[in-house]
Amino acid sequence: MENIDSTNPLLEDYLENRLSPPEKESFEKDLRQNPALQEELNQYKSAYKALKIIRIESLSDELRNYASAKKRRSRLVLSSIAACLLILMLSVLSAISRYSDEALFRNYFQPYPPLYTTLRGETHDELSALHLGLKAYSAQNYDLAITYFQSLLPQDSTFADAQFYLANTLMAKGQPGQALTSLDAVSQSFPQVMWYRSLALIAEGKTREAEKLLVALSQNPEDDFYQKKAQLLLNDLDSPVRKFFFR
Amino acid sequence: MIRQGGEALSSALRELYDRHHREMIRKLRKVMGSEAEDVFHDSLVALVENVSAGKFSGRSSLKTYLQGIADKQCLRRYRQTTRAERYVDRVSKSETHTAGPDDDFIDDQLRQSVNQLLTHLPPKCREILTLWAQKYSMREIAQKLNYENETVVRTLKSRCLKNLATTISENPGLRKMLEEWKTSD
Repeated sequence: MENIDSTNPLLEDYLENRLSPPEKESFEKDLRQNPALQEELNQYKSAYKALKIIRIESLSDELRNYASAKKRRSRLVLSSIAACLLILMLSVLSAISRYSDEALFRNYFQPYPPLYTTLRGETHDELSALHLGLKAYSAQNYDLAITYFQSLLPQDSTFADAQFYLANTLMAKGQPGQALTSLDAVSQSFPQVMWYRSLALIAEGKTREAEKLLVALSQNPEDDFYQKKAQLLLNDLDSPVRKFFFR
Repeated sequence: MIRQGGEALSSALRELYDRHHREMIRKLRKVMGSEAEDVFHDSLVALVENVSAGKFSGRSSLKTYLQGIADKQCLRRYRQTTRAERYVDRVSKSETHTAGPDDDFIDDQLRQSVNQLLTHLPPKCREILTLWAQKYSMREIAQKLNYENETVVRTLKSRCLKNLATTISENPGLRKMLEEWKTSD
């Protein structure tokens, strides 16, 4: 195979169509008379063909890279949209769930503070058991508190403090149905009894009954504290979200 | 833009991709399945080559022209398969597609041999010739590769071209393949 020793300066110009018509004619005349130049031309033609293949390959690579980048971008956009939708859905669900009966009970229920005072003339033993129950109640040892409170009831089922704190303990333990039984045994006229009774009723799904109590509380001018709390809870019970999803 | 080459050619290629991708892929997927994307890419490259070589007369729209190239690509790729036979039947009945535009078919062996050929060239030559093949101007190549000026690049390009021609002539197998390769130029 003959290699190129010296390149005809017009060769590239000829192959790249840069020669004027007379120059082209003259070059083609040389070609016909010079087999070495003809061979050189053929070698160059092959080189130009190789370069064309290189160009096609480069363009294909560029296109593939562009397509991959576009796909990646599309996937990223779709993932972002999906993530936003998920966050939105979770937020909506979270907003909705705070209006369920259970959530309202959880949000509003706070165990009544243990007050070590006598409401009436209890005996020393009764006071001692009540105080021990309150101590356990205060320490959130609800099972022990229940034992103390219940120990007072066989002798006097109308022992208001014992029944009231027993109801609170049961609600704190998540047993609002049993708490209602204890609250039934005490006077319904106390605002705190009405309040906890309404909460236990909500937790039991008896919202209509609870609303009646809350309306009464909200209209009680003598107790500002429970009046406000009752109004807030009534607003939540009456919210459009709750009406739409829970009624 | 396509005829300018270089960066302008790349931009044109991306623009063509964006403009025709959705519709062409929808059509090609029906006959080519998962290979639709490859056919679309090859067709776009062939379109760019033809426009660059001044072979696109403008008598038909670019979209029709691209479809014609894609039809040829489909026929070539899957002549053996039943699915393609159905497509061949359909296409052969369509006059607009029988004399479709040129597309330079490169078989895998030739493709690999040319890629290997590049590795035999000095790195500088590889860079210059690859950019020049992509129709970057001498000035653009000088800027991209940090050469003093375009005259330096032109001289180097001539030397590299000679080097490439010599390397090919020393490889009779490759030279034969290239000589037999029917390019539309």
